[in-house]
Amino acid sequence: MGKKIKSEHHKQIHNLIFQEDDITWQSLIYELAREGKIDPWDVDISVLAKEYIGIVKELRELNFRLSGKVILAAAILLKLKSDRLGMDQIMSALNPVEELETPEDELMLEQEKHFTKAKLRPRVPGVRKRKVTADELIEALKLALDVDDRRKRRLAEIAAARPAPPEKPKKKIDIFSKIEDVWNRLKAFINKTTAKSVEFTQIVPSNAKKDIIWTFVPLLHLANENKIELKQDDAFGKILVVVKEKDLHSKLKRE
Amino acid sequence: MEDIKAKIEAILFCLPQGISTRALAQKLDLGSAGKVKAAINSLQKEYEQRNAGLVIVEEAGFWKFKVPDEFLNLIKEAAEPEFEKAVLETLAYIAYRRGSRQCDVVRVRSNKAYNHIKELREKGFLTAEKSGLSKFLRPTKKFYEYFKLKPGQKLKLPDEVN
Repeated sequence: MGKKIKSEHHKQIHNLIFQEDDITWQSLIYELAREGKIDPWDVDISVLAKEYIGIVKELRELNFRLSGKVILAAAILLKLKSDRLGMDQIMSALNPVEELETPEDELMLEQEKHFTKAKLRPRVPGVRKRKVTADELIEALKLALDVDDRRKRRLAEIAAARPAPPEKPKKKIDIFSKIEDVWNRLKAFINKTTAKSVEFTQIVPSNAKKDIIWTFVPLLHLANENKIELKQDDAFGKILVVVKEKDLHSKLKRE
Repeated sequence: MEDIKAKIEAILFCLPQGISTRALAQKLDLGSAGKVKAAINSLQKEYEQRNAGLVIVEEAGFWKFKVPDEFLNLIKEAAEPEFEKAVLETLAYIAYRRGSRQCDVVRVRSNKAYNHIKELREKGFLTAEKSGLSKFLRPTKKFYEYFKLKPGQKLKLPDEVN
């Protein structure tokens, strides 16, 4: 009795798997062929896998029940696609299992593995490559020898595209001669008037901005050298230039 | 024997990279590699006798189908060359100098030349001997045979050829 129930139970599961699926992996592929997304007489595994996964994702979003067989079919298609793309070779290159003596040994081992274990193998031959001719080798040589020239040209272009560094402004005015000139002017004025101080406006040659600047800047240098003292009682008021008596008198006596 | 030959033909057609005698014997459940070799030699002769558009060759222990040299120009656009352009340039540069230090090759051909040299050595077109801190690379006999050059012959520039 128990055996009969068990057998019925198995039958139910069998029907659920093989008959009661509304969405089967075959129906998805039929649908793709019907919509013209794949040509059943010339199946491109890459396109088929892509479209198939697209539909599986769509069904998942719509919260439809997905059969395990549909998922299995998707996995098989992706495995076929990865085999066609040579992913196994890339993965083995990235994760070498063991050091083999020569590349030939490696290829032999790989072939033996494929013939004995692998079930999913592409049914069409891989891409065949042709022999390279001597003419092509000579053309390649020309390109290889041009490479240095090309690199130099490229570096020159990069250098040309870069903006030139700004030029350092040339000194047009010699500040030392200006200081000396103002100092001489000041001495001459003091000598003539015997005054201890001079107003800034009295030693400026003219009211031009240039003259004012090139009289004031040397005076600042002279003040820094402790030869003179600059006084200004009010802001924007008159500037008095006080010549340090000791220095000037000693110099004037010598002269 | 005919049955074995047909099977070998089918396998060779599906494996552009070639297959060793040992792997063939294993696949065909033949204990002796001698039987496989005899079958391949017979197949090879058949292709030669009927001047077929394909020949069976053995390269570095691997049997494979190849297009005879006289048809190379015919299939130039239909099939990709065995070497990538950059790899071929590196090989040409080394052959032009009739051997060169690896560091000099890398200086001219950039760091990618390390991979090119590795590939060329694996394919048996270059040998490397230690030279100071670097390696001295030389074109092999296989290189000269492949490009139908005399051993040690200097590769000429296009201008020199014309």
